[in-house]
Amino acid sequence: MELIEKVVRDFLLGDVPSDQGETFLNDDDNLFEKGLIDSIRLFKLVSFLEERFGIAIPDGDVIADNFQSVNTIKDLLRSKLP
Amino acid sequence: MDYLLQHLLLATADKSPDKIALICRGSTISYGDLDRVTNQLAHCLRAEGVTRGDRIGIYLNKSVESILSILGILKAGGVYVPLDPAAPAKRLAYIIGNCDIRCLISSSKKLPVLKQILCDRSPLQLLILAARETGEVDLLPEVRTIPWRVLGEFPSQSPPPNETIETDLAYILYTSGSTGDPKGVMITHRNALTFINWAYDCLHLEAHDRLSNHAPLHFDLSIFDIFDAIKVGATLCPIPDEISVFPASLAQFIAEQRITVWYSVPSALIYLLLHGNLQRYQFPDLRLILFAGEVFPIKYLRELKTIIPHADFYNLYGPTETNVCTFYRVREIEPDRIEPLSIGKACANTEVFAVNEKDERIQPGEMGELYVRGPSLMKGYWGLPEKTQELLIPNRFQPGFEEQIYRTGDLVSIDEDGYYIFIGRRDNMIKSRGYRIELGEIEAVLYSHSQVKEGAAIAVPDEQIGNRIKAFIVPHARGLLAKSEIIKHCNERLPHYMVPELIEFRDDLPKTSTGKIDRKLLS
Repeated sequence: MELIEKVVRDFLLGDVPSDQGETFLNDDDNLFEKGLIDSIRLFKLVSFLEERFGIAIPDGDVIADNFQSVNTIKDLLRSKLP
Repeated sequence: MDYLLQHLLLATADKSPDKIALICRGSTISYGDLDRVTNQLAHCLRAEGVTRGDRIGIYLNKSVESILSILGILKAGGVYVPLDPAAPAKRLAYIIGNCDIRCLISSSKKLPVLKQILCDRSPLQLLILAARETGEVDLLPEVRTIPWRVLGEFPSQSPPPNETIETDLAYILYTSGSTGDPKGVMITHRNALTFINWAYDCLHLEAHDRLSNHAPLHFDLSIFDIFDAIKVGATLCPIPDEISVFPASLAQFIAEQRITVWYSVPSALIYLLLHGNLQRYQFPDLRLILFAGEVFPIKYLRELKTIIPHADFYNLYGPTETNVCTFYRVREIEPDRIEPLSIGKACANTEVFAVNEKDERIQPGEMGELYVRGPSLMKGYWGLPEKTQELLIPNRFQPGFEEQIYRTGDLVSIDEDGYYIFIGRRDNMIKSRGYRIELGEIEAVLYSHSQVKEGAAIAVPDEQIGNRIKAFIVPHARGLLAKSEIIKHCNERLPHYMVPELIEFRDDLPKTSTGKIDRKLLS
């Protein structure tokens, strides 16, 4: 079973341009400042997480606090997983 | 004095020095302070050798400093060039080289990307860094770097002596270019003021208004937000990018900041509508919703009007080359209507007309290309005299009014009451999320990859964002080229909204009888 953090990190770094952020992402790094989250990528990430983990992420949960870093995403997912 | 953009600030600062001009991320600044600090920035730029007409780049995220930079540059007699904070280094390097930007105002957060830009023989000589951190800043060797705090040493009571006149450039906005490189639209003070004055008169803005600023600075919607707010002495609330990205947070921002006037592309409103949980709020202060840049699918507009019934909605139309040239105030939308809204009629001090292939004015029911006449027309494209002459042409349609007109490339029809209806484009330009995209620019980037033998980009209609981009690629050697490789290649050269979302590999592409790629056969 893959670590939640790794799944999230791999998805985020999947198509990142090499000059817009480092290829090494710390779990506490601010995803927005690293250029990994924008309005296009955000909902792709949400759809991916919903599918990959079989959960629902309502719009009210799609806020900056929950998607600030790999760690906050992990916390959000944990709160929804059985 | 009222013929330059900075005169708007001078008048308001004089009249309401203590009124809050800007609120961003908790920082506020009054009109009086805005006037003083921008005077200091202007003196600093002059002291560093900036002269009239110099292009000065702004590479900053939404902030009080980005607005200060615009006004400081104008007061120094410079031409501001806003750079997309999210664009890849190669694209920024191109723009900096293209219009010879020797001075850039940026922040220490941007240093990693700035280092990349400087690898490419850039003309950059001076960097002014807006940075809150007082720690050591890793400086770039060839570029003189000045920290923002140095501005405090310069005079603040008045700007440096002015030599700029209204027909001189105020800013250059870069838009997608069909042959592969972005092109710089040159806008004069007079061009901008024509639009700003129309908006002020038509929309009855007042000092107690609170304007959001959703559009990035390199998008001409920001001209309304910034300069109409200043003109009337209203408060401007630039929306931090990290809030724009999260629709629930954005809805909260609009409600909590008591925004009264909103201006954005339809995609942003649709994003809010679908994901922002708008029913949490009443938005009692929101009185004016303006949208421009792409067609607003009628079903979403109808829904939005139901949620915010007390606001006035306006559809604004106009390319960057002219800013807004027609407008339409939205009435009640019939429940069964499927056609998009009219783009309305010409703004004050602007004339529009449409002609068919026989150079005759179109009659109701006919279709033709829209032309624009008036003082809002750009000066031209930077460094592209031929491209400029293609689109800014002598007026052969109206004897006695022979000065330039601008051909928009938009096909329109007209109804019995003289209201224009947008039909489509003459060429390969498309809109996605309100952004202007030349499919040719994407194709040029595809071809620049050594493994790509042939490439084509098409638009796939999408009801939420207008169009999605799909790329078809014929690789030299099938199996050696991965989709992720193409995406990475595009990400390094194109802004995110131009990177194809869908990629399909083919063994060959359909051709027309003249051997050109037949995009109509691709889907």
